[in-house]
Amino acid sequence: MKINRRNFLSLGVGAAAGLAFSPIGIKLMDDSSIWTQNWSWTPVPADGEISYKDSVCSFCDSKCGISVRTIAGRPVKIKGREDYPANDGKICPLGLSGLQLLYSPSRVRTPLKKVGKRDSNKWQEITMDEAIEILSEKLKDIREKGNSKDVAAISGSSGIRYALLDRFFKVYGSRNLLKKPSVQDSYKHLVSSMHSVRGNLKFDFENSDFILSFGTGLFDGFDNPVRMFKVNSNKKVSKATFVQVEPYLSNTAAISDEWLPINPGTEAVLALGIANIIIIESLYDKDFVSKYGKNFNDFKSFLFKNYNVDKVSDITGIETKKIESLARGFARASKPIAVFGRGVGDTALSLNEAIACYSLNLLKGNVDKKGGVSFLKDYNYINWSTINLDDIAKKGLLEGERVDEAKTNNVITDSILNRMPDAINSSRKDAPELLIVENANPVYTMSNTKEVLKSFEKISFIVSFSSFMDETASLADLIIPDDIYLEKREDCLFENGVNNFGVGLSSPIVKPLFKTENFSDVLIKIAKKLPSAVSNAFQWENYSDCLEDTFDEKWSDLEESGFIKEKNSYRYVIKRNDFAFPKSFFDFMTNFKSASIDGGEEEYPLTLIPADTIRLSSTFMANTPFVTKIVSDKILKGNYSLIQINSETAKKYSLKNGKVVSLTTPFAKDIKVMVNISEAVVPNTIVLYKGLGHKGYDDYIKDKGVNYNELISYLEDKDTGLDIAYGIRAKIV
Amino acid sequence: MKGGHNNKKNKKFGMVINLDKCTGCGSCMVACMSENNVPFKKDETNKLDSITWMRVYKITNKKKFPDTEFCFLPRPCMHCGGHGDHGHSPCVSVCPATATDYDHETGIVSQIYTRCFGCRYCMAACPYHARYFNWWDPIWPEGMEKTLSPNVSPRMRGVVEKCSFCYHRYQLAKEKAYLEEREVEEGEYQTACTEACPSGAITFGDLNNPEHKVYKLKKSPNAFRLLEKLQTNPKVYYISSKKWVRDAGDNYILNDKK
Amino acid sequence: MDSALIQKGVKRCSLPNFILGLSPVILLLLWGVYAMFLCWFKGLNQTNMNDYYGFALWIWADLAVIALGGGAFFTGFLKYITGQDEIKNIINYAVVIGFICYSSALLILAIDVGQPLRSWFIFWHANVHSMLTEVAFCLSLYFSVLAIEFLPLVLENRKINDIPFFHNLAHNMHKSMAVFAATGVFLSCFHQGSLGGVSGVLYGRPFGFREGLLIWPWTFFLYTWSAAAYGPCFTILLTKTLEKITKKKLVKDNVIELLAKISGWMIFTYIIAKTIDTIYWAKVTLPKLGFDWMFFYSNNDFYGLWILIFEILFGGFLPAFILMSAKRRKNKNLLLVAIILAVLGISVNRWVMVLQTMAAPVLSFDSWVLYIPSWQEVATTLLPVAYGIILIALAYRYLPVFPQEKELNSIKEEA
Repeated sequence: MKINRRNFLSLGVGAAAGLAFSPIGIKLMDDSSIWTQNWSWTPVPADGEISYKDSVCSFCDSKCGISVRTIAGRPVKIKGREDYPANDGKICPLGLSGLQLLYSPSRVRTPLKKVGKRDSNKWQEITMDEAIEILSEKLKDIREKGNSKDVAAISGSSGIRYALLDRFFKVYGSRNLLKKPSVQDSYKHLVSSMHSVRGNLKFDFENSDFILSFGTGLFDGFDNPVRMFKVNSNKKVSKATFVQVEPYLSNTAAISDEWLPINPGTEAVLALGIANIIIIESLYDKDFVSKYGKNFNDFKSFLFKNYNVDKVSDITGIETKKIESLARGFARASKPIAVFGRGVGDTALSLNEAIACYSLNLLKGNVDKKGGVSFLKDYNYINWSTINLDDIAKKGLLEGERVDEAKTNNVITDSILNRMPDAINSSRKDAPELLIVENANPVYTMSNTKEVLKSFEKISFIVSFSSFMDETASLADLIIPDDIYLEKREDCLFENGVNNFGVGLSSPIVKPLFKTENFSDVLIKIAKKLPSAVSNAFQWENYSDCLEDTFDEKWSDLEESGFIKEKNSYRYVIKRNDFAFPKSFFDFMTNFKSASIDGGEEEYPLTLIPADTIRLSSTFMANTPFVTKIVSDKILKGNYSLIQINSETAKKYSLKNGKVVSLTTPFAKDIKVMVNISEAVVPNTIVLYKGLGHKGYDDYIKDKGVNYNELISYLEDKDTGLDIAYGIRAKIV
Repeated sequence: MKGGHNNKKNKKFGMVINLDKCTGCGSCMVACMSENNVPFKKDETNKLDSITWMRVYKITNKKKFPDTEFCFLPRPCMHCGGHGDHGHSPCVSVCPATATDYDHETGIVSQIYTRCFGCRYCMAACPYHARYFNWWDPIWPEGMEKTLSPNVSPRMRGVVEKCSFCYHRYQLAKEKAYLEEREVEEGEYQTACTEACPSGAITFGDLNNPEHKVYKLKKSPNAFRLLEKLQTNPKVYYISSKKWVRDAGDNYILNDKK
Repeated sequence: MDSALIQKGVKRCSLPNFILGLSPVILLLLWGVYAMFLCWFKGLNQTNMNDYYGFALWIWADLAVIALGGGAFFTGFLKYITGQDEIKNIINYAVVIGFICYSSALLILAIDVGQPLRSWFIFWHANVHSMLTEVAFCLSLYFSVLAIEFLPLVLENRKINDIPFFHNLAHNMHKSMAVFAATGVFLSCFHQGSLGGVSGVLYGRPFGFREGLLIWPWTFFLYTWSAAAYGPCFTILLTKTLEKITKKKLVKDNVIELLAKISGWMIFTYIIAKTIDTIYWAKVTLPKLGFDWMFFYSNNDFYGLWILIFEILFGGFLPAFILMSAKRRKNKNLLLVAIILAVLGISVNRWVMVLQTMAAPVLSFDSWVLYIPSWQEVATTLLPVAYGIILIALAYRYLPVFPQEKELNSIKEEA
C-alpha cells in the first residue's frame, strides 16, 4: 500500500484510538502507582519475633533501667524498665532515643591514629591490637623515664570503670586523674563546712510540703529527671507548694506554683532576706537552732544588721511584699525544703551562696528528717585487694604535682579540672605528656574553649576513648573507641531520692557493631602489657571477670535481676545536726557581690546567663537527632542559637524578633545569635541555652548554635577552688 | 460467643491529658517518633515542615513580664468524631480518595499511606495541624534504618501522615486477646506517648467504658477539649486547674462568657 | 511558509515573525517546564508550601483559572440555551480560553499532588462526601466537553477541512453543539460550585467555612454564580488584548457590549449575594464559633480590611456599576477598567478563600503564618500562562476563531 498523507493520518488516528481502548494505559497506570507504593529508597523494616531485653541507660548519671524491644534481634525501641528502682518504668527523651546513638553517623567505627596535624582530622584506621600496643608502649616509655606523674586523665566515669582507672593511676604513679566538678561538690563542701562531717546533701522532695528552689532546674534535668517528674506529679496530688526563684521562666518555673523572677546571681541575698523575716517573725524552729546551732546568734545579729527586707528587695528586684509572703509560706510549712545550685547542677555554686540558701533548712530544723535534707555517705560497693606500689609509683604519687593545682590536703574535691588550662597556659604547671580522655568531652564542656584548646596544644599526646567523633576525640592523636552502653555489660550505680539506691547491670542488646571495645577491658589489657608493678594490680582476666569478682556472692543476683537495691539504705545516712556558720560566710555576705558573674558593668551593660532544657544534652554526650528535632524554634533556628531577652530591654537596644545580632562578652567577640523577645526573662538579662554549638559529632547537631562555654571563663570560688562561673556581663551590637 | 455486652458496643478510644502534670519534657514526642518510624532531617528548626505526630505546644497567658505564665500542651491527633460524633471528621469528610477513614468500632481516624496521593485537603481541613505532609523522602543515616519497626510502615515522599493512636498496638493486643479468647484489657492497649510520659500526665482508654480511667477523668470539672465550638468532637480531653489554660482551649469574643 | 494552513481572507504575519514574537513566551514555558520536572522528580520540597500551607499558590491558580474560564460555559449557556445569537461571534474564543484554563488547571493539579502517579485514585477510591471528588469528576468530564467543543474549530482549519471526513465531522458536531453546551453548563454548575465548597465545607477553618443549604455551603452557589458573572469579563479582556496585539478589530462592539452588559448585571447580583454572605458569616456564623470577624483582618502583616474592601467594592460593585450602564460600558476606557477590576476581583476572592483560610490561626495559641511562593511555584504557575498564550496564538493564526474578522478587516487579495 502506498503511504500517502491521508491513509497515514487514518492509520495514526486508528492506532491512537486502538491504544486508547486497549488495556495498556490502565495497566501502566496501575503499575506506576504500585511502583510509587514500593519505592526502593523507602525502607521496609523486616518482620520477626518481638522480644524485650532489659538493660540500663548510661546517657547520664541517673542510670535508668530500660527495656529494649527487639524484632528478630534488631533493637527497635527503648522504654523505661517497669520494675527498676531508679526510674520505675519511665525514662527521659534522651534515653528514649538511645538507639540513635547505636547507628549514629558520628560513631568512631575503628581505632584511629592521627596522621598529620592535630586539627587536620586526617586519620589512619588501625586495629584494636595496634591501638593498645601504641598506648601501652607510650605509657611504658614515660614510666621508664620516671615521668609517670606526667600522665593525666580526664574521666567522667563512676563505678568499677572509674575504680579501675583510679587503681591504674595509683600503681602507675600519677595523681593526675581529673574529673569535672558539679553541684554535688558544692553540696559536699557545704556539709563539711557547716556540719564538720563528710557527706553529700540529699533532698527528700518526695515527702516535702514546700519546695523553695533557688534557680535549680528541678524539672529541666536536675538529679534523676524521671524521679523529679514524679515528684512534680505527686506534688500536684499532695498539694505541696513549689516556688521557683529564677531570672527566667524555665520549664521548672513554668510548672511551679509561683515564679519569682530575680536579678541574676542574687539568690543568696533573697535567701538571707527570707531568713531574716523568719527570725524577726519568730517563725523558726527555736528548739532546733538553740540545741544544734553553735553560732546561731551571730547569724541572727548579722541578718538584723545587713539584710532588712528593703535592701533585699533592692538587690534582688523582688517586691518586699512578695518576699514577706514567701518567707511566711516557707516558715509555716511543716516540711519545707530550700534547694539550691543553678540549672541542672552541672556547675558548682560558691560555698557562701550555698550556705545562705541552705540556712533556711536549718531555720526550720528540717534536717535528717523525712521530707527534709540528709547527709549521705558515698555508696561504695567496690572492695578490691590492696595494691602494692613500686618506687616509681611512690615517687610519682609523692612528688608529682596536680596539673589542676588541686590542694593536696583537700579531699572533698579532688579535682579542679577548670584550673588546668590556665595552669598550663601560664606555665605554672607543665603540660602532661599524655592525656587520656574517657567519658568526657572537655573541649566542649569546659568554660573558655579558646584557653582549653590552647592548653591542649601543649599536651604531647592525647588519647580519646570516645565512642563518637566529639570535639575532644577529633583533636586526639589516638582514638580507641569504647562500646556504647547498648553493646556492653557494665555496672551502673543509681540513686533515686534519699532511700532508693543500688547498682544495676547494663547488658549488651546487640554485639558491638563496629571495631570497638569496652574501655575497662582495654585498660586491663594495657595494664597487663606494663611492668609487673602495674600489671600485678590487675589480677583479673578481663572486665567480666572483674565484675563477677567485685560483686562476689551478689553477682548471680545482679546478673539475674539486673540490679541490686540496697535494702538498709539509711546505713548511708549520717546523723549530724550540729552546725556552725563559718566566719568567711559573714565576711563574704556583708558586702555581697555575686561571685558567679564575671566582667565589668561599664563596658557590658547586660548580664548573660545560661539556661538548661531537658531537650538539650549539655554533658559530654551530644543530643540525638530525635531530641534535637524537638528543640523549640525559640531556642534554635537554622544554625542560630536564640537569645531570650525581655521586651523592654529589647526595645532599649532596638532589637527585633528574629534579627541576627552580635553578642560580645569579655571572652568571645561578635558571636552571631538570633533575637527572641520574651516576656519570660528579667530585664537587662540575656538567656542562652546550653547544649548547642557542637563542633564535633555529625550533621544532626554539628555547627548548630553557640556553645555557652565559649562565652564564659573559669571563675574560682575562693573557699573551695571550684569553678562557679554562671553568668557573664555582655553586650549586643 | 465470647465476651460480654461490651463486645457489641462500639469503643471510643481517647485520651485525657493532665496539663498540671506535664513538664514539657518531650518524652511523648520522642517515644512517638521512635514507635512510628517518623523520619528526621538534618535541620528540623522549621516547625512548619517538621513531622511530629505528637507536638507539645508551649502556650502563654499572653501577659507581660513578670506576670507571664507558660503551660505545655501535648497535641496528638484529636481523632475527631465530627458533628454529632457521626464520624465525619473535618479531614475524613474531605479526603477525595478515602485514604483517611473513621473506624466506627474504635473511633480512630486512620490514614492509608499507600492510597493517599498527597492532595493535602485533609491538612487544610484540620484546625489542629495534626496532619503532616512528607515534603521530603525519608532518609535514615546508614544503618539506622535497622531500628525501624515493622509494625508501622515508613511513609514515602508525597503523602500525608498523622498520629494513629498507635493503632498497630491495638491490633497486636487484639490478636493476642483473640487467641486467648478474651477482650483486650485497658492496660494492654496503650499508646507509645501514654506509656512514655514520665509524669503520668496522659491517660488513654475507651471513653465509652465506665471501667476505664478516662471515662471518669473526662468528667472532671477542669476538663476541656480544643475548639469545642467548632463541633469537631475531639477525643482528646485536657485537664488544667488554671482557668486561663482552659480558656485557651477555645476562642471567645471579647464579651463572651467564658 | 505556512500560508497553506492559514485561512483565506485574513492577514497573518510571517512565520519567522510569529515565532520571534512568541520566543519570550516559549522561554517562559521552558522555565515552567523545568520547574515542573523539578517538582516531579525532587518532590514538593521545591515549593514553599508547608504543613500550614497545604493549599497555596497552585490551588489559588486552579480556582482562579477555572473561574476565569467560566466564560466558556456561560457563553455556551447564553448562545445555546437562552438563544443570544450574537454570542456566536465570541463563543469560539471563549471555548479556546476555557480549554486553556481547564487544561491548565488539570496540569497544575498534576504538579500539586504529592503522588501524581496515583492521582487516579480519586476516581478509583472516590469518597462521595468530598468536594474534591465532585470537582475531579466534573472537572475532567467538563474538560472532555470542552475538548469536544474545541474540536470542530480545529477541524475547520483550512487544510484539515479539505479532508471530507473531517469536514463532515465538524459540520455534524456543530449541529449537535447545543447538547454539549448544555452538558457543559450542567457540569460547570457543579464543579464551579464544588470548588466553592472546597473551602466552604471546612468546618474546622472558620475563615473559609460557610453555612448553607443541605449539603452545600453558600460558597457552592456563590462560586458558580461568580464564575458565570466574571468569566465573560476575562473573555472580553483577552479579546481586547488580542485586538491590541494584532492591531485588528476582531469582534464587533455590540457583541462585546452585550456580553459586558450581561456580565455587569450578573456581577451586581453576585456581589449583593456575596455581601449578604459576608455579613451573615461575620455576624452569625463566626460568633457561634467564637470569633470576631475583625480577627481575620488584624494582627498580621498582610491581610487587612483592605482586601475585603478591594474584593467587594473595587472588584464587585465598581465593575458592576460601570458595566450595567450602556453609556459607561460604551466608553472604551471605562469598559477596560471595569473588566480588569472584575478579573482582579474574582482572583482576589479565590485567593482569600484559599490563602487567607490557611493563614489565619484557629487554635487560640497559634499564630498567623504568611507565605511567599518559591520560584518553582511561580514558574509552574506561569507555565500555563505561557502555554495559553501560545495556544491562543496558534488558534488565532490557523483557525477561524473570530467569525467577524474578515468582515471587520477586509484585505486586498495578496499579490
